[in-house]
Amino acid sequence: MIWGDTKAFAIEAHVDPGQIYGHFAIWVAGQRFGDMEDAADLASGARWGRLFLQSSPRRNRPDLEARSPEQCVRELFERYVEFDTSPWDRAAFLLDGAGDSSLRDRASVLVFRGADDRDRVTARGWKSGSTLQAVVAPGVVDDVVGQFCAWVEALPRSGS
Amino acid sequence: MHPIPEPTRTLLLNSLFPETQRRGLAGRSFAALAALLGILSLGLSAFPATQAQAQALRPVPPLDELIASARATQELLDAYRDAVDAAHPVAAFQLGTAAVAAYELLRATRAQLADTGEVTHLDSALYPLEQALATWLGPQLFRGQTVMPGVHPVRLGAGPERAERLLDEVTQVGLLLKTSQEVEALLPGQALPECALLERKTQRNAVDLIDAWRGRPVNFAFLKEVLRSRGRWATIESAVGSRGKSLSDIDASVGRQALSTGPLHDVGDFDAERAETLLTPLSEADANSASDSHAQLDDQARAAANDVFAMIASAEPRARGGLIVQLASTGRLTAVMSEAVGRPWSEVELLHDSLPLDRSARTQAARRLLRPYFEGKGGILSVSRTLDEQISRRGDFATRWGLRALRFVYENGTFGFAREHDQAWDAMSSGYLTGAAYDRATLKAFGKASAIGIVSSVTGGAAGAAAGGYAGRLIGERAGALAEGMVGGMVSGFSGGASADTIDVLSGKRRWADVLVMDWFKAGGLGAGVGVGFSAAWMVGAEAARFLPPSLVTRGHRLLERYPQHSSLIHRLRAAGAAEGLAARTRILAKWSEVRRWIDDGILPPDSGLTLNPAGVLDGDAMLTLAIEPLQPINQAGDFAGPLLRISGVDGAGGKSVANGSSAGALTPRRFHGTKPKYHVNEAHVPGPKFNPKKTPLPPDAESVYLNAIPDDALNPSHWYGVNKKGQIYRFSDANNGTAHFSAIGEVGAGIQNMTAYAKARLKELQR
Repeated sequence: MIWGDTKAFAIEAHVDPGQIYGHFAIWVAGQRFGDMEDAADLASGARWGRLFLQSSPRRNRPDLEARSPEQCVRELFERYVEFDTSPWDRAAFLLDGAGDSSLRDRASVLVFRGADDRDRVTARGWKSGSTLQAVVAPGVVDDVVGQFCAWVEALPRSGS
Repeated sequence: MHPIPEPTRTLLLNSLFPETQRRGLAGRSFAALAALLGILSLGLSAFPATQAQAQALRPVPPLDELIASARATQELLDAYRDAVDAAHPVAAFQLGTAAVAAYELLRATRAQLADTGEVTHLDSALYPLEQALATWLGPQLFRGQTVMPGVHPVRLGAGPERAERLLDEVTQVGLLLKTSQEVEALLPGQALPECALLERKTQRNAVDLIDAWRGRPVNFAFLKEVLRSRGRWATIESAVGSRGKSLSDIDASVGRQALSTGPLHDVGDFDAERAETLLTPLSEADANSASDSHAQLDDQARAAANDVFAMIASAEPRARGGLIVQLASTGRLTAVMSEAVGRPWSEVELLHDSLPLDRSARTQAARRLLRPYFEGKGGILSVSRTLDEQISRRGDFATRWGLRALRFVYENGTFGFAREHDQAWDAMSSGYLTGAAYDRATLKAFGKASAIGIVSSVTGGAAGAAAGGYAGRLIGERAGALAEGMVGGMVSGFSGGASADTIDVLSGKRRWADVLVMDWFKAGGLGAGVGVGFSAAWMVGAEAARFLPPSLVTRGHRLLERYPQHSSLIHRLRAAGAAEGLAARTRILAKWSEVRRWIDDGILPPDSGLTLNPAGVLDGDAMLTLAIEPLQPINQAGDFAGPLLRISGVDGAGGKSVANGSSAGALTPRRFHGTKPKYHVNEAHVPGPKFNPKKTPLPPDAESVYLNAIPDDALNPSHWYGVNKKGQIYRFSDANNGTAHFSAIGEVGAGIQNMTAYAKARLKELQR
């Protein structure tokens, strides 16, 4: 199942019959991030997705628009890993939690909103070191995440 | 190789290069060429990248913003004039440089708009600004009045030499004001009666300081006006300097020279009266007759010829044509240039080649006058001259233009270093420049290139105009003073590194070839990402900021004004902002006592996420490494509303906080006061039917390790970390439902990529 446009931003997920976990990936600028072979706790991911949606009003960072994708990753992610011990508002900017172990330690997906209300989705592959950024029309990211959460929440919970 | 008489060689070298200790050239030429090629290749590879980077980071702003930027630059220029009129050299230099930088940015943007209709509107703002810069940046005016008759705005030209000419003017004004300060320091404030009490030596020193500027009439006149306004000129007007001339005599002589070569051209040490006295008119026929009979004119004539040749060599290239014509008009040119007076043809050729490539009547006439003295002879050519030779010889249009393009890139890719270097290289390869003198020449060129780089850093190399080379003689000789005295406090991606490098080279700590030019280019490129629009006012220091209108004063300037005692901290924050843009953090290594003072003085808040020294174990000398950042962009115009700065963390793993041995309790991250999730087993980690081989198997002690696990954030933890008995780190992931499960061991599998600095600091405590 894929929600969104893989050329810009999309979420891909599916569950194996009889398994309690599923598989997850995020598409940014035509490239897939996440390990579809790993087992991801989609329910946990959907709960993070809801937190992400609740934090939407805090996602405005027009000051980052002029920065390179690498600088955005540095500002929204790496600084908290390297030196900044102050509270990190992850729920507003990080989609990693939605992918659970599919993304964890493999890639990071960050979202912030510019002055024009469009979302900048930035993905960094930790192994490859590559960073991509897509500019997505207003509301699309939240719509896609919302659809993913609703789909997970509607899944039969027989496996659990 | 043409033999060069030693007296001639010494005179020439003394005139061009003050330190002339002859050294062997063995091995030097190859090493120097290799180093040059290294710089060239770095320059060539870095230049396009820097341009692309600058353009990528700086999209063309809206037209109204550009017009506003032009107005802001005009305001910078007004501030510059205020600083000049106040005789403040540091402020004048910094504001002038900033104005040129802002202008260059606008020029670069204009180039991007070239094919659009908007360019006309931009030009309507740009051209008046250009005229204002040409009129007001130089020493032609002081306190609104021209300093001498006949002065005119600097001719900027249409090419990349614009910026270098403007910078030349700014630099000279800065140094003139500095000289004025030095003279003032020597002389009492008042009056002729006291003049009599002045020691002769002091008077002579003061006159010598002023006399050093006689080469360019407008400079001399400017200095005179400044000293007049400070009440010092009259004090020493009749005093005599080391050359045996009184200040009033020098003044009169400068006035006469201005009538001959113009007020703006710098004739260096050339003294028309002395030249006329020294030389006896010599016709070509007499000279040929002397050469044919292998007779040499007497030693006195040869010494005089060398003396006058050295005077010409000391003049700036633009002025040399006029001097050559002046000598020819009195029948004395042959007495200087002929082989009969021992003049090597190669020296005359070098002088000919040093004349600018313009079409002025004087220069053209000078070229014609010099050619008979060297034509038909050979020599070893530098890269520049080889290219020039090829350009002139190749017949086909495409090849000629290809070579010209190569020549352009060769020059621009090295900030004009190549041109300066090649003159020295030509001289050395011709056999009459010593190794020491060659080093000196390349050093001067290096210093000049650093001044260019200050502007180029602001423009991110996109303008390209500043890279055309720098002709100012003075800036090369006093690059060290400039770097230390005038650039100090300025901020740019370039100036920090380049000025330091220049100082290192000038002080002999490093050789020019050792400096990583690539780093300069990188720094310049980063400087372009400062994101503060087109006002370059942010780059000036505190002294210059006092002259800025309120609309251009940045938060950094306001901090400097409010906390002058903490300028070192603030300068570092400003430099970090210039390098990375916006409110970039910087890492500071400081004593605990200093950090305490920052907090006590209010520049740092007492609590910004970290509880400092909670156990009170640190003594004042304990060293802390802190990450400090402004809460709002420090290099943007405006003021701080609310807190100014914050400590955003400790360096690296959070444990490198104390260097003197007593580390316990130096910095303690704020505690998490929420509920710890319940431990839960994720079956995908448990070997069995639901095990996923992609996952790290659950270790048997996971639950017990979780008991002491710490969160990865003080407010919203997503993971928890614990340490087993072997010292391995376990990660537990929050499932967002009140439970957390084991998800990784430190270095197993993909490893842990998202462990926060907060978690590292807390774990450090745990491990103690």
